[in-house]
Amino acid sequence: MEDSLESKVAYQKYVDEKTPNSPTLKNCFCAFLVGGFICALGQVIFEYSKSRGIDETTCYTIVSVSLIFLSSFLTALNIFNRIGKFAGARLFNSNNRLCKFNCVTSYGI
Amino acid sequence: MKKIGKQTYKIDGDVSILSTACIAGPKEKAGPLSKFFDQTVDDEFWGEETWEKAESKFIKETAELAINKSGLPTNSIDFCFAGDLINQCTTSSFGLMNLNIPYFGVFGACSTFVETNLLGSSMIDGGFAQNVLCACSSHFCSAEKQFRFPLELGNQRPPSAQWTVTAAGASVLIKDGNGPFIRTLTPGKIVDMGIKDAANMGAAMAGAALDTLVTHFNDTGRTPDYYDMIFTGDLGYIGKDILIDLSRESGFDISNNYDDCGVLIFDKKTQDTHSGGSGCGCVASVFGGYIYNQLKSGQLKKILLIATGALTNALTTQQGQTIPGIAHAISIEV
Repeated sequence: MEDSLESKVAYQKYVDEKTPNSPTLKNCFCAFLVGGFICALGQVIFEYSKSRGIDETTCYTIVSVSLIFLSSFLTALNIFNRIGKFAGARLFNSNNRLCKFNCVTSYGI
Repeated sequence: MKKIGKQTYKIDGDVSILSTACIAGPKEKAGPLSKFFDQTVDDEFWGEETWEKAESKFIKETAELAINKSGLPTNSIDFCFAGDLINQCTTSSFGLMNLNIPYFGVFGACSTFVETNLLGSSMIDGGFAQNVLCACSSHFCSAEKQFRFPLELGNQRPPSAQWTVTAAGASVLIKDGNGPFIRTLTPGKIVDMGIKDAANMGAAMAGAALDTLVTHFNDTGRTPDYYDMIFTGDLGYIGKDILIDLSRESGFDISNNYDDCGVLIFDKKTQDTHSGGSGCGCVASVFGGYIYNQLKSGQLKKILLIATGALTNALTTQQGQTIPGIAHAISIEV
């Protein structure tokens, strides 16, 4: 191979053409959709708890705990991976022992 | 052994691959080459506490299996050449320390498997050994941790990213024997194509693969149709495409009889592996099972195996350095 700078630049250009781009727009849209849904779900849990006469600070805790529980639960059922993939996050290996590390971080997608 | 041309060596006597072994993980088990592995493991930890320990177990069990299949007593193996992707090749040294065989740790990134076989066969042909063990491993989880991001971070993978294969492969080489025979060796040079994208290793390594391929053909006077199949180690879909283009431009069109182990090992559509498999375990396990079986059964008679490696680590990438590639080739004939 030629070692000149021009050939490296030309190669980089050629590689860029060969390499498919990440579907950024689609990922952003899906992340917006899924992220929005999670926020809405949090709000529903919050409003419901509040309507039951629980004080606001406790309501926030209930929201966090519920969402973390839900994501852990769905991870154990191997469903969270698929949601994560759709949402533009990374698909984790379907190995549950791997996923258990993933529970907390996955809450924020 | 004698040198032909610039950097190719012809083995004078016979060096046979007496036996091979390959053990693969769960994702590889779900892939199209599942039935060719000697053993598959459903748990990425394989009962160990860490991924690194699990990977050591992969290489240990695979090496022992290859020796068992060869029928040779372990103490008759003169040397062991082994390597992996983890810092200081500790997977291999920890995994193989109880074998009690003189050991060489080899690092050629994902080209290590062919590098070990190349070194092993030259040891035999040079008269320094009768029997040599070659082994390699890679593990998806430990490699992600080593080269990319912690798994727990859950980073996105671009379409050009490859999936490190969780597998180990080993071969036992002997003097003489009944084949398949390692016939020529073309060790590769380091080739830097100026690629800096650590998520596009195929493009970074394709130049090295081309360099070794063209050198091999020029040195031997052969053309691509001399071989039934030409296999590269882990260029993946993008690297494979690039190599076909580049080889055509160089006057050695390999598009008719060429495939890549990283492309073969996973099903791109259902396994979400993007540009295909990678890692030293990729070519080691595909060769140890799928390809070796075809050589033994006579479906393939002459092959050229080119393993490609990206000579990089996490630090050089972070410091903005390019990713040089290397490719070693051996030709194997029945």
